[in-house]
Amino acid sequence: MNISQSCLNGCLQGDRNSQKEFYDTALPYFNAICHRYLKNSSLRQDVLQDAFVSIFNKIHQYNPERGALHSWGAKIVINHCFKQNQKEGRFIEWSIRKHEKGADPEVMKALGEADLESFLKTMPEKYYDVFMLFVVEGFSHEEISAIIGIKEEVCRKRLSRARLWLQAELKKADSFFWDMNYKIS
Amino acid sequence: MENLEQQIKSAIAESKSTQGVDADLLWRNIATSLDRKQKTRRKAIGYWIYAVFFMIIGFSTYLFKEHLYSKEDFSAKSTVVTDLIGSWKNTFGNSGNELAQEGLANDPKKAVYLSEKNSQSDNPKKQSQLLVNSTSIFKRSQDLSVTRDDSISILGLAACSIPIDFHIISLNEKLLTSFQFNETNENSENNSLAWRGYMGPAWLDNKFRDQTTSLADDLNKDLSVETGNVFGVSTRINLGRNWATYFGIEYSNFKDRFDKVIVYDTLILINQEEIVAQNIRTIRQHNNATVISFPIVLDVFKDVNRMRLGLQIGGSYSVVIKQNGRMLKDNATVVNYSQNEKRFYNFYSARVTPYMGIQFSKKILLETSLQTGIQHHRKNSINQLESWSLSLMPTIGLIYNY
Repeated sequence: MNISQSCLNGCLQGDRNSQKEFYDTALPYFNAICHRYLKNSSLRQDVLQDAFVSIFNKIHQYNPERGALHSWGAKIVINHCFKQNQKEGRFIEWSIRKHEKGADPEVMKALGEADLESFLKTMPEKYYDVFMLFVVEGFSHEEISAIIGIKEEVCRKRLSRARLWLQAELKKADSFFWDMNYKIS
Repeated sequence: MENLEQQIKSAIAESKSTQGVDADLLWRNIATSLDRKQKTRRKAIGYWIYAVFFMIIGFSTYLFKEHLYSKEDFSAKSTVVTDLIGSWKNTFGNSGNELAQEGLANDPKKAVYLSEKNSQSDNPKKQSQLLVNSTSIFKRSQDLSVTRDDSISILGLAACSIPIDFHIISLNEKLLTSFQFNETNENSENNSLAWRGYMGPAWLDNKFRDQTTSLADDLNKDLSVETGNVFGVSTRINLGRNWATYFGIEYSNFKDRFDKVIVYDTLILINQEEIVAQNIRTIRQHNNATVISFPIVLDVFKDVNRMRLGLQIGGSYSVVIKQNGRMLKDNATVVNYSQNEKRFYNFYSARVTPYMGIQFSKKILLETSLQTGIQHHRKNSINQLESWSLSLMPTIGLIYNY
């Protein structure tokens, strides 16, 4: 995703056309992030709206030396998703992930993007957040702890448990394939 | 495991989709929100700047009027004394004039001796008239000498209620947008040690409380606030996204003025005859107290472009290290107090400080604030009266590594 320097300068000056250009470029990426981290998908439009408004209002705080604009924007979108999740959590103990079935190990190798996400969402919620932020978004433990509001140590523990969970799931899948092969032979 | 994570990353990280989102509707909503927010921000900044502006105007007026009244005091007293001399000339003739001049010359504190009966005066009507005059003059003198300026806070409120002219708001906006903020200002980066230094004038309005006697009322009338000063440094001990906590040390010098007119009977010798007279004595004393305070405050702030608007709420413990001055022990006795015989003991203070800052550079924030505090002082050792005080300290300062 390439955001041109002229687009960035326009956004810094509050130019609406440049903001629209940025919006058009970044929307698919930010929408995918919302899909990954927002529990209640019906609120995606609201969260995206708040996130974009925040991005445009805070764009003067963006430092090009520290990374690409879309990464900086992604962090803001993720923050908004987690804030929304926290708000939701106060009122309803409900999560889409808990209702989703685990991916069938048989199709592990042929997992598409959507399936892979669905499979990963079967991971316990706490591990999922840390794992995705660390592995997919590439945040450091320090950044993750700031986003989620946990200690760095807890963050590390959750990541290692997420990895253990993933290994266990893969082992299950392996043994399943081995059993199937044995039975067929 | 690492390979697997890489696979997951490559499969998911770059995923893009606009599924489930009405892109046009979303953009319209975003554009509307941006317009609305811009207006609200302008308004908020305008109100804030107005509030600080009028606070500064209010306190400058306070300071100005304080000095103005102290000058009026002296001129008013001189007028009173001159009137008295004039009356004396009329009543006693030359001897009265000499007496009055002698009285003024001998007593630098403008003591005036007034004859209750004069053997040379053969006009009892004039004599009684003079007494009446002198009493009324004395009353005037007393009223003038203890005049307090209670109208200041009303003035400040009146200033704040002036309808707002939004021209200044647009000026503020120009001021704000004239700064191009190209450097980072993310608070998460500045978790290292931060220092705040500030200084400014200080006022402490001390009100005594006692419902059983009139001593507290007398004392409150006799004491008027004068300008002291404050210097402080503090360090940040905690930092959040929009908040921080500071702990520091603060040196303050509080001043007030004690004015009292005391009238007492005395015997004087006029033309080799002893007569009863009234001695009117005006006392003026500049009291001061030097205090070291240890404040701890919660700072809640919001950065708007290069401007920071904030509010500090907290408390402090103050140690009185030096004090001296005069105050009333009872309704008629004026005594000196000092660190040994205390007017102020160490005290706690609750404080609220609105402030406004401009990010001067990447590391330095220039700020102005109005620190207001309320203190309770336990019974002093002179007249056993409890008191409350309100402190006001408009300060200017710097925050390093904000």
